[in-house]
Amino acid sequence: MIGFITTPDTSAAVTQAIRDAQASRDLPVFWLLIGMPIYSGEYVGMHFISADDSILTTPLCGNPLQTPQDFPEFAGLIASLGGLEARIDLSLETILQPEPES
Amino acid sequence: MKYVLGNMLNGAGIQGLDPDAKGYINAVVAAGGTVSGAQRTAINTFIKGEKAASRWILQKRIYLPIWGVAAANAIDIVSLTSGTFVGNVTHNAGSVSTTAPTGHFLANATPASLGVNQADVSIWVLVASGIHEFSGCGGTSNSRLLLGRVSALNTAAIPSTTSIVPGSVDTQGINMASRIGSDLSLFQRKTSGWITPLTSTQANTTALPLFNPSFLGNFNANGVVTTARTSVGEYGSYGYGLGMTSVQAEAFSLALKSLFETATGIILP
Repeated sequence: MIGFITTPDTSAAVTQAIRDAQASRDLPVFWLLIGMPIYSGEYVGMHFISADDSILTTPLCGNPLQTPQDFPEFAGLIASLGGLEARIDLSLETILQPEPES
Repeated sequence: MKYVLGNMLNGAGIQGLDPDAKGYINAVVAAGGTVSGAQRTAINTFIKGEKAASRWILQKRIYLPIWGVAAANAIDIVSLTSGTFVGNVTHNAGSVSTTAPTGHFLANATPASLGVNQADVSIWVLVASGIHEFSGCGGTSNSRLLLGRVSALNTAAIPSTTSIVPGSVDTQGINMASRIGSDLSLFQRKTSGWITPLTSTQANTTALPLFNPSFLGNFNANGVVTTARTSVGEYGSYGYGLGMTSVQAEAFSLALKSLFETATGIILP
């Protein structure tokens, strides 16, 4: 999985900024990125934000269609995560939480 | 809502268009979706049929994420409100899919807020391909609205002290769990037919959890969407509402199958 490793505080701030970007345009909040807690491996305690190229080019809305990269807030958010080159390939197993009660 | 007001012309091209169909079509178009004439007819036929059969009042949330655009895919047919896609979700032509536990869809309405309770509830998913793991939400012990697959078994718990097990691992098609009173059933619609894998009496009266149900292979456990499982499925529709009898569920599944297949050209497994 391609994405960013960041602190819980930063991932919360990024999620809120994405939420605000939609709300400020009088749109419902229909799309978010969130930080997933990392349960094992060298990044335990940090958050993982999944952000491969397909996510960053998701057709979001509008005519013509806009992707996340078309929003002016995009560059600042990516910079707050260290830039696109800061993304890593994280093992899926590291974010699998213990089996839920069901 | 902006989507509703954004385009009042697109849904006006069909004689006798149901107002709710028109509202949904307009909302999808305003959100960036493209709705063909055949798709408009299919949506109109579906909604009119549900109303004629008195099932429309049972439906609280129906999502049809076939438009290839996140905003359009997030719109609920019934209320025109929007749910939220989170994380790694791919918006295909005809479905949405995830390949990792980081992606899911949240319906932004708790069961209680829609008048759905533990004795009058249904939840369903249309799986075009792949494997469905979980949908729904869970709270404290026995407070669960779940439709899914646990280990090698299917499970529905609405709520129950123990999971019910129909014994099938094939989740492709339309899968539904419904409870009316103490009667809980699990239904499955495939192109090959209609089955009721399990019926059970559920004496448990624990209230449903006060969380928003999650779809696309994960469920919302105590306010946090679980990443315990990886789901690889393509979903053409999902939703929840009041309970359906076996007769109602069978007819609804046929109508939904027709809507999905007509609108996408994809034949249900």
